[in-house]
Amino acid sequence: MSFLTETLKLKEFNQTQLKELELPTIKEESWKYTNLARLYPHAFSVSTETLEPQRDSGDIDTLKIFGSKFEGEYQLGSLKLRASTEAEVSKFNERSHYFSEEFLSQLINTAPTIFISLEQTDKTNTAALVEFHNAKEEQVNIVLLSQEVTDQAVMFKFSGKGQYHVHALGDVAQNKSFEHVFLQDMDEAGIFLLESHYELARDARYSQVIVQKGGALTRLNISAKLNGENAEADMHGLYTPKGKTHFDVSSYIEHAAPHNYSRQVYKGIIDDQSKGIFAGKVKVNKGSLLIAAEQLNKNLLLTPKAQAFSRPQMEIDADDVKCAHGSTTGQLSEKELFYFESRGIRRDKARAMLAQGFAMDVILKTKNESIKNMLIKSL
Amino acid sequence: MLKVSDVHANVDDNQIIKGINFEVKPGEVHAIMGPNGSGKSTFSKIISGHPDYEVTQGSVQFDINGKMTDIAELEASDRAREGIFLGFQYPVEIPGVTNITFMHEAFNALCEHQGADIMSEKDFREYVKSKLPTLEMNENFLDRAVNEGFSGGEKKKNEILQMLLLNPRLALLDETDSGLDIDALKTVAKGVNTLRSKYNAIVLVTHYQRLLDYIQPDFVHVLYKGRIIKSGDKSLALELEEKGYDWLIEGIE
Repeated sequence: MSFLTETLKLKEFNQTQLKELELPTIKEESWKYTNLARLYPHAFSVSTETLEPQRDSGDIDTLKIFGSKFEGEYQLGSLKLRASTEAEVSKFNERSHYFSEEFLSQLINTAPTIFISLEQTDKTNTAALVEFHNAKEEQVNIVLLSQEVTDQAVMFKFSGKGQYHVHALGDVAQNKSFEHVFLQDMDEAGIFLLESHYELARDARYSQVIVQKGGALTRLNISAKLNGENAEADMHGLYTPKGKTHFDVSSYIEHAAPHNYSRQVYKGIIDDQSKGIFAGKVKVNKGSLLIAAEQLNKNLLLTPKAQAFSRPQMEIDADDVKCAHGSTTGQLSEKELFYFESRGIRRDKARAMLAQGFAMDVILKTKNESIKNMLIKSL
Repeated sequence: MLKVSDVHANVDDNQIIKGINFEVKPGEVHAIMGPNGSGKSTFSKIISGHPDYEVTQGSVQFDINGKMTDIAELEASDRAREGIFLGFQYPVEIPGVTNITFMHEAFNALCEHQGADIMSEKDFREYVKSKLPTLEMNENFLDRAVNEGFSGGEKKKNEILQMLLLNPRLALLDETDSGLDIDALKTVAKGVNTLRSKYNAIVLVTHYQRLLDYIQPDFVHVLYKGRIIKSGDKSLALELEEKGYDWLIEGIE
């Protein structure tokens, strides 16, 4: 039994579409280390939450959304969140990108989903925090569509129980910038599935930082396509699985025009018996000359039973490009630990400080100061 | 304050230290010299409690609350809290942890151990700043990652800075002079001399006599093949400088 066969029994789901889907097996390259049948055995019914979203003005304008309850519109600093229009939803349904034929992408349409459009309404460029909280063991499906963003930073936080299935999609227009931070801070048993795809026009900048803190299973399919010259994509992530947590990210960055830049650093701090998987591909299309791409995956294993799988890949069809990629996996160094101890700092504290130092590198890639500080505080 | 009695020690089953007797009293400065591979660095690591070194015989006693106490069972962090400081021959780089955070944590560990209030980051920064001129360091060092990208001389100064902040009763300085140019050597020596008082003791582990021109030792010991083969006052260092180690080694072999 898997959640898929169980889900077929739930009547809110689109049975016809669901029947066409097949659960990926570990024989498929991109699911090699993530056995969904085993890791995700039970179905969740769709969210029945009735609590209205709540505002909070802390350091940043915040909106807390409970379960799948979202209607109307909300203004958060310079960002407006509103229910998407029918035209926007049908455009989403026609999407076509690297991961769109994949299982996760096809799954989103099979159950009731909230569609939220993000629009920047003024030029104050104030950062916003949107927190999704799920108090019940239920499923929340969210599609986040960015429209008309000039220079906006937004952080999405996911907390509580059950399952989140999130899609974030959008374009960054010419000479505009968008920063996207995702913090997954779910309870121990939580399941988090995220797909994101962004396309960048000429001179556009897109920056993404994804932090996995909680949950039992996290799978990310993230991609970016650089369609214009001088576009810049930053796609960074930090994962800190512990217990028996499973974290798996598939990333695809495509350079489809000359003279643009992508940077990616994914770091894992893997504790107990947990697993961290990074599979990232950088594709340089024919004719995309003089691009620069950097990709790095580093893993820190805290116990002998912690596991890391790392597959950085590059597919380069253009000559005269600058591409670098690397991967390291190791443990805390005894030499470093002894240095702390020789100064009176206990081993446990030393380990925590070293791990934090390792993680900080990714957190500091967040460009917006208030979001960065919030992220530091939450870790 | 420190009494080492017939200590034998192994690293990976190789016996490196083969019976050392050594005593340090408050206010004294000792220099331990010897050719490469004689066990000098190993000796300082044993005193500071490095987990890779196993004492197989003999004892190391240290004055804790006025009582000579066997410290075999004390972890390195406990020994540090009791006032033993090791200045590293090769200070370790710690990416992602700033110098000020590292030193603040070490300082507060000491405060906690002594039952004193911990110091706020702001007050601690002022305290550290007061020590910087002695070592000719500037404030930028505090906000850089520990030793990362520091030159050899900067790393050694950073060790001495930590020593001054923690004000240990016993400072073991492992080849603090090696690789320093003469200006850096003078600065480092000035820092070490600041610590000298009738309450503190300093053990300099060194390969060269040069350092001893700037930090005058009360005693000089020659370590060879895991044993102290000769002890004397500072004139022994000068004699070694002139004649090398061979005349001593020939005497025992």
